[in-house]
Amino acid sequence: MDPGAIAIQVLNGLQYGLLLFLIAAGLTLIFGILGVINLAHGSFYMIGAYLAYWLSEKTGSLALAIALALPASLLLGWLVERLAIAFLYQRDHLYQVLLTYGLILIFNEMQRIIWGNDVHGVTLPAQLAGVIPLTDLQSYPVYRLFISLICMLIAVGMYVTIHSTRLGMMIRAGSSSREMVQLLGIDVGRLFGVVFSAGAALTAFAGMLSAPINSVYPGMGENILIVSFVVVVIGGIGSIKGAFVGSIMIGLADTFGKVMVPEFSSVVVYALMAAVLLWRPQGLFGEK
Amino acid sequence: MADLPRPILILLVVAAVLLAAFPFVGDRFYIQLITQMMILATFAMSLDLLVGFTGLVSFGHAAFYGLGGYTLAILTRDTGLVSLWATLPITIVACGLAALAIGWLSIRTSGVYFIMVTLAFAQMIYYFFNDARGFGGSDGLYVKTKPDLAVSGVTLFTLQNRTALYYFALVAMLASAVFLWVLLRSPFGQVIAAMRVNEGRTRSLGFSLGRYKLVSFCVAGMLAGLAGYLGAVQFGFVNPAHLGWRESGRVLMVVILGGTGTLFGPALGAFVFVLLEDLLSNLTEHWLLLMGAFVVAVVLLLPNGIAGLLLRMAGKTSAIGVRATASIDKPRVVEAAARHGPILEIQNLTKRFAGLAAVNSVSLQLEAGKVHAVIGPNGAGKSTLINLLSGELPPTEGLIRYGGADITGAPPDSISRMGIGRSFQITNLYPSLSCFQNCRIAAQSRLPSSMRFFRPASQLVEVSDRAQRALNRCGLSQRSWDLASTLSHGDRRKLEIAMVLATEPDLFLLDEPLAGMGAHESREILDLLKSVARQHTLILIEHDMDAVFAIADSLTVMVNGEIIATGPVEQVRADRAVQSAYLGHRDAAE
Amino acid sequence: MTNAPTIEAKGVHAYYDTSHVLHGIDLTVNQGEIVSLMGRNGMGKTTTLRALVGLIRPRQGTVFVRGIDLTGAPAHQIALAGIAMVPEGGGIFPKLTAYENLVMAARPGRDGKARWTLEDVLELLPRLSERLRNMGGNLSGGERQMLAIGRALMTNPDLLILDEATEGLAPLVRQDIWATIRRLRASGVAVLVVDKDIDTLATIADRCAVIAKGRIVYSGTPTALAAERDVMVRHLSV
Repeated sequence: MDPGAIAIQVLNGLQYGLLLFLIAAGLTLIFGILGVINLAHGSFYMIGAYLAYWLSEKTGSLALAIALALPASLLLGWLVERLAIAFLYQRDHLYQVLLTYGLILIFNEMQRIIWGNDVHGVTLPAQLAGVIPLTDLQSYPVYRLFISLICMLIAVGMYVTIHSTRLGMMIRAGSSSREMVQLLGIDVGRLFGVVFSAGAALTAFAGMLSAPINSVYPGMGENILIVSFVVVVIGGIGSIKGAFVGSIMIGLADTFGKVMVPEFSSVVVYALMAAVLLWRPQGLFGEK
Repeated sequence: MADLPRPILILLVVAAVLLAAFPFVGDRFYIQLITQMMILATFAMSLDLLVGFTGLVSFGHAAFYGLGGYTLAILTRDTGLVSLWATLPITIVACGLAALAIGWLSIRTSGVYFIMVTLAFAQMIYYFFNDARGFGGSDGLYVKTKPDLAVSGVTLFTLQNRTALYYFALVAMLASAVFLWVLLRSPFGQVIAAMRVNEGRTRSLGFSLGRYKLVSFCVAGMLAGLAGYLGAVQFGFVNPAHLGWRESGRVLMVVILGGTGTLFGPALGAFVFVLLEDLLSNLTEHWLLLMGAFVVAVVLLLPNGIAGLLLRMAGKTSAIGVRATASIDKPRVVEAAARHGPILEIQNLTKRFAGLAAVNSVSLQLEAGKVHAVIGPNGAGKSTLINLLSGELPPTEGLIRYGGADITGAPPDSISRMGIGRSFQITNLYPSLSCFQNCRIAAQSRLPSSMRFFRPASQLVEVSDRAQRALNRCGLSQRSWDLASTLSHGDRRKLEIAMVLATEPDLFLLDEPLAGMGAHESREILDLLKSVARQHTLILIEHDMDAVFAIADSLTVMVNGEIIATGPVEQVRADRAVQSAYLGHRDAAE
Repeated sequence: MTNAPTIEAKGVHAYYDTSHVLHGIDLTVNQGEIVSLMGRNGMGKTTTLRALVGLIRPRQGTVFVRGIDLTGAPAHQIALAGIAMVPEGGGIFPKLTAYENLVMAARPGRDGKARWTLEDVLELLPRLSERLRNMGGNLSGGERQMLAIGRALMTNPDLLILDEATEGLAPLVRQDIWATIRRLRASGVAVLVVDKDIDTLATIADRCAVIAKGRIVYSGTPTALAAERDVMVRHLSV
């Protein structure tokens, strides 16, 4: 492959990885802090995408659609946490898996009821629809760069929040000792609600961002969910750093896999996971 | 695994008879539906082995189901094999091998990682069959010819026939149930059960758990493959969806609905579930919504499933185990008296954690047949010392000699076999097993190997005897069949001691046996310890000074990882340095 | 209500599963006083503290904080009512720096006044100033206890509960901690302290209580306790 083509694939891989990061970060935090394995995490991705599609059709503007969909996702996340997830704290993983599996069925079917079985596209706003030239022959879509940029900003924002704000301190403290956090007067229940909604909103946002390039279709949540699980396993549960490194690794591996071994590209991701497991069963940055 | 209460046994037998008789009266639609149920029941029971008995939550079990179907389809398409004799064993072996590979990789993880990893591997297999050429892609493959069974050239039956398939599925389901039941009653099964209830304790009894988990995983995979084979025969085709996460979730749902860890529960659950799906899908196009709500409801309201409900109705509160034969209390040979020299010798034992010495150059000699108490403030290193002696922690420096032999750095299972037993500060039992089963698994840990599958554990008479003797010794014979979780705090501590007794040690390491006990309970445990002390050597960590002075022959005081005094009890007690460092009040009344 | 005891437990019974571990505990700490709770290990000291701060729900009995019934209230609510506990070992967060440990839960007191600011805390515990950037997990035992006390003070509590704050620490460090507790009294914070150093406790505490096998067997002043040889011998010493 010539350098231009390689550059394009690298950019694609990074963009996919950064998008994955939004989803995996939420998943790993929810598991690390709340101790809950949430299969319905991918459903928020789907909900975000469908909201973006629906609202942009109604309002004619993707930006406005996202601006409306974000608070809606936060609210939905909060509701799901209070009404369903709160029953799962301290319970066996088996029940967590099953209850959230039930939620997937509910969400998927509600999506079908509301929006039907068709695949939908979302149009890009004009300013972002163009391309940027990379070399004489090749150029790269502006929107993808835009996505990468936004995700990068969010990643930085997340880092700053976790490491410099009080909320971030509470989150880091909560993963070591829930009891001590309570003894200091912090309502752990509310903290959990915040963490869960934030995770849900991030995932939904990823769905909104990816809608124009990946289109919107039933069942889109589960595919990305399983890949996020792979990211979390590789990175280590509870580690944002691990989620970041894992996402980029998977993003690049998957993208180059599709180009180099198209028939088995889907398997590449899992082969990578198997390799990491052989070397470090707790993930790259996980604790034993 | 416990025997079932009579009413439930009767229910199951009646059900089996009804199933056998049904084709004579039922119409085609229902024959087909019930065949579906029985295949799902086999699939569900295989997952129950993993989830309910081994404690491994797999979200990728459908991979083996689908693999079973694909293997048959490929065999009939590419090899022209149609005989049951050929296709079934090949399918089962293929699934077993796949389970071996995936299991070996997955078992390295545990808990949540395991769930995610099994999901991911199943997805990988899904994509493999979906994307690779030659497997029909997302449409899947047809099963060209349905297998038949021929003996000496005479075709006895072909699974093309609806009724033949029905009976074959029935036989498969019953055979799987019986096979699993036998497996779970074997020594192997006992270890599996123990592992699920309390993995840490089972590991510290010396069992290497990875192997047991892998065997379980493979057996489950093979039975799932059998179910998948039958499923493919019934519908005549197989496609990637059979391997997918939805299918894995569905069967997991069936297991929970039925009741994990019961075997008959998931089988019942399968019947209920297929009926429910049939009902709901006729109700509305969006029946999955109702199904999702149903799943949520079951998790919140009926966590023990249908089986749990039935068992409660049958009034089962105690685990009905196999009654051990009446045993004569064999007097224990007091080897201690015949021993010369100290039973335990510690030289310069040190344990460092990241530069900090929790135990610092401790040297000690302990006599056989005596009770040695170790006291000191929290953080003095007492528990670390016990962990070093029992092999849970390897020392950084120093030497431990037991009965003259160097045991420094030996792992817990070999130390246990050499005759050193320990009890834990925080009671570490198997709450959902009976007292007898608790002691039996402890006694069983002393066998050279528990990888025996076909003899019921009850036949290991020696093991059962030891367990019962230990229980009798601790005054728990009346509660042999009660679940450990129903015991009072004091009785649980006695059970903990009984479990150690069941491993028949010479040297007993006891970490705060009286912790958290009320006055009455303390007295009982103390009496028990006094009686145990008559025939064993005891090393005891305790804070309850009344108890220490009532039972100990010699006393060692540790502060900050070092011994500040050691010797006969009265001598140490009067030591001024000890009083000021730990015992506190200088004007101790003598 | 202004003279109500800072915390008052009456007839508290508590259980671990089926085990009855606290048998009708009565314990009061008045405003600004130092009360010591003594007894051998396994007698119920920590359980009593946990019942006071809401980590254990009393099956019987009441817990009043400044005259308000908070029996069975969740732990964070009791903490917000002005009760700060430093558990055994300190309980500092190893993955946060010393500075972060201090400021994470900092808030003004109930009356809105911030009697204890970061500057005040560092003045009280000067060793911490040099360690602000260090991770909690890298501090020595003594520093961790100091940090835990500082962190509790940053919430401007009415009552500070210390569970074995000097446990396993070198004598010099212990002196430091006792000196700190003395200085606290001057500032008006009430203190409930559990410790094994009976002699020092006698010089610091206004009142003391002795617990044995889940029951309070003595309650009074340290001088009076010293005269009760029987109690001293049976429940506290050799």
